[in-house]
Amino acid sequence: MFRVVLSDARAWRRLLDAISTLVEEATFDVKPEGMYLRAMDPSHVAMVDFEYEKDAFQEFECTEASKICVGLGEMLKLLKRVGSGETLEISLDREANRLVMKLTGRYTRRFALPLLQPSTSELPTPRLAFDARVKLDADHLRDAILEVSNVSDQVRFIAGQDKLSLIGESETGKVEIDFERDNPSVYEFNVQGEVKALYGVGFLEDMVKAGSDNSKLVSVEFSTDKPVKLDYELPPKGRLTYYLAPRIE
Amino acid sequence: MEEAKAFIQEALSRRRMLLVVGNCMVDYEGRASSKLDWGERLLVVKSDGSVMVHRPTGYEPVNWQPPGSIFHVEFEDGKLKIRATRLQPKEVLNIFFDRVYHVFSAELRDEGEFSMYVTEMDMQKALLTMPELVEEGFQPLAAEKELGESGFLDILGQDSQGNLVVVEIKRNPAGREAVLQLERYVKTLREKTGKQVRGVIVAPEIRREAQGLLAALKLEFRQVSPRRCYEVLKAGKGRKLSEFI
Repeated sequence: MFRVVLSDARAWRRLLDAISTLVEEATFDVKPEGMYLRAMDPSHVAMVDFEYEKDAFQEFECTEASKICVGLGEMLKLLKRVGSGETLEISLDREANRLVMKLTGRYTRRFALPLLQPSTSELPTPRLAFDARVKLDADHLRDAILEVSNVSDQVRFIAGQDKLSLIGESETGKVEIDFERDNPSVYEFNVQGEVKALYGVGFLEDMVKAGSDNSKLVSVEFSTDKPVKLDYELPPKGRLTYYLAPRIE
Repeated sequence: MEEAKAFIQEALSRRRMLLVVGNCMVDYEGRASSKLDWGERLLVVKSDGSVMVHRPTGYEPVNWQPPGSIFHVEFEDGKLKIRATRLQPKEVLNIFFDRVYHVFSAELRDEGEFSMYVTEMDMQKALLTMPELVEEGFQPLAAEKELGESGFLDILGQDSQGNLVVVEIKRNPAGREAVLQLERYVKTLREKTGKQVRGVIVAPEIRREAQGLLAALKLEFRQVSPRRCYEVLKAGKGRKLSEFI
């Protein structure tokens, strides 16, 4: 038995959007404790880790753990016209092998879409130690990355004792953004030594856009020449985390 | 127009570089066919017989012929017609001018070397960063490895079958010299290890006179341009997340 109700269908759509930046098919692990998803993009450069615990749903019924795989493109298409204040009920029609969505608000809409073969690969939790951890406004990080993307396809993260800098440089110009430790939009600042790494802007752009659509704060964690972790909290009981592999020179 | 015709004929027959600015129409027939309607353009004919018709914008010519074209200039229906013919494959470019604003010709000397500031060292770095430039499955084992009196190997690696591979890098077209040098390395290494050793020259080009020698010695050539290496170095190497988790 699986049936959940989300009080804000739009928020759910934004989350699916965020997952769809990396994968086309999403295999959700549904458990009595909540819904989870961990997926890597096909080039194995980026990963998304999504958790939405039981209490984040308005109603949550799940009697046994199972995997549900859907095409995100199709699901998003069906949810395209979701209005504000509409609630979304998701359940399974095992007989027809379909996922059933019921939108209630302005009027009632029911959608069904085929369940796909779930991916069986289990990705491990990345075990990474980070020398830099900076928590800041998700919007500010998004703007910074978008600004860097104007001049470069890669961005250098440099964290020191008093600031986190994002730098992009190419023949077309240079963009340098500093988040000072004492800036009001910086909520936590924990850096050991000088930490530097280079990342591709393409994935980052999608991640910070989707992240800031879903959350106000982001914590940026990285180590020299190691992956970066972008952690977005989804109050009250959820989390959206991205990992991105570095580039080396 | 008579004057322009004489000037153009003179320049083409003396193999001078020629520029013509005017209102023209272009017909091309060859492996495909095309027609470019009237407009104001720049025609460039270089001393080697390369032809380019440039429109007012864009960096690429809209019509062109490779080096070695044969020219014929005449009037047809009151228009000045320049025909550039390529014999193999047969391709004909007809350029008709009804107005000519400027003509210019010059004999240019240019013996400078074009250099992108990519050194052999940079190429080596690029190949180490992206070994698949040598071939799929190639794994570098060492760079600048000393090999007794034979000198230093640019890169020593192994192929997907586990054979040793000696890579010799040249930033300019590789000649016989490079082939012989590689042969010395391969031979020394074969004697040292008693194993199968492959030799690969990595260069933008291999000179014609070296091709026979390369084949006779059973050595190989991989075309890699300094530009490609430059791009690889500039992009930096993307890592996979799976390497970290």
